[in-house]
Amino acid sequence: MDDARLAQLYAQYGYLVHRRCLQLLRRPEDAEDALQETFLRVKRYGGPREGDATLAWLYTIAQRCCFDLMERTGREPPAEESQLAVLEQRGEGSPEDADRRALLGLALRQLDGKTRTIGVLHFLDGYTQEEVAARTGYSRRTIGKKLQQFEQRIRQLWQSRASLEETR
Amino acid sequence: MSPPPLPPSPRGPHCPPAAVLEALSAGEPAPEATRSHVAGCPDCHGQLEALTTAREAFVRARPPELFLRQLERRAASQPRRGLRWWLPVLGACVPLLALLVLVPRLGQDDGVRLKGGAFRVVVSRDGGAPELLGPDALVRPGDALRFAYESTEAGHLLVLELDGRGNASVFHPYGAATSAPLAAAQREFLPGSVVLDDAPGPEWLLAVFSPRPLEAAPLLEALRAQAGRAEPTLSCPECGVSTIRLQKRP
Repeated sequence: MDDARLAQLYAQYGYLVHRRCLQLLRRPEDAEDALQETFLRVKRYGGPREGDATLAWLYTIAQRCCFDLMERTGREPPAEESQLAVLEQRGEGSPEDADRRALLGLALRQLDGKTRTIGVLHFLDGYTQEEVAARTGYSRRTIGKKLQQFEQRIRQLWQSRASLEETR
Repeated sequence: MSPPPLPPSPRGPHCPPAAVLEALSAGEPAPEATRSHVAGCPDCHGQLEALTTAREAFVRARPPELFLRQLERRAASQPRRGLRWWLPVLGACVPLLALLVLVPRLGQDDGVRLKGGAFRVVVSRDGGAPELLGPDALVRPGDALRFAYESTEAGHLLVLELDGRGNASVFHPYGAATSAPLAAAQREFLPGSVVLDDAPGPEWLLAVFSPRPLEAAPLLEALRAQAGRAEPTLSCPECGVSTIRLQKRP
């Protein structure tokens, strides 16, 4: 992709891609790293296919970059108030929800691709279970089961984090 | 006590999902019904305004031309695409070849010698033969590391570590506040070994060599300040810094 088109895509979508990376990785420096990697892949491999929604396509690349980064660095996203504060109110729910949302990236990384897609659509993109079913083609029951697995993982992470804090 | 299920993003019964508002904020088209709902819904309209304002501020603070230059630098620092497939093969072969040459020598405890350039790290596990570590080699808590540093000139050496938790420490001379003298053409391993703790994630090892004695404290502070960065760097006058990243997993 040429630089003029890349600059235009960045001006239009750079903020949203950075925001999504921050939602998953939580560390500003990691989000910056993932943002650059996302646009570098776009530069190398070209734009979306005809008819694809550009933001959804960029989010898919960005999420891949985030999971690759987590894998490469072996680093878990932190759940620190100071870093959560940069996220907006909408989509974060109560402060405790926000704390648990900080574990989303880690939980997503540890689950299979199908559960990950469903988790992203429901918890980050904000689609209801019915809408997720309609978008993915999975049954409503499968969506429910996968989200339960996702919840289970979040709870495990939440509890292990809580017990870690107690021992400190 | 188990926490309640994590609720999805809060939205009213007729409000579009967060992703639709995000797409709208980037100027993507949406059905007329969605547009008119957003225009009349204070919650959705407020969120759209907030996203649009934040996007504009983001681009003002980090203009596209600056971002493109960052991408150029990043691309230049990455391996070329055509070479990628054989890099893992080469990565696997080089340590293997090195081991074939080195292991007979490394088997003798105090007679450990390495030939060639600056900074080398080997690991010992359960009394087994020492293994030369390459970039991103896998290590485990409890592994014992030994270091070698070869320079044509005599000088002073510090080996520093930055672990996955962001803690920085001196590995050679272990726990010291200043560097240790190093003889020219020193091929033997440095005395002692360091046993790794259980901090998971990347383990950065930095050998800092200088013609003059070095204080560890400012270098450790600089490393701690860079915890979490893609690649920590150190600079000090007249120093040579060699860096290797290991991956520590249980």
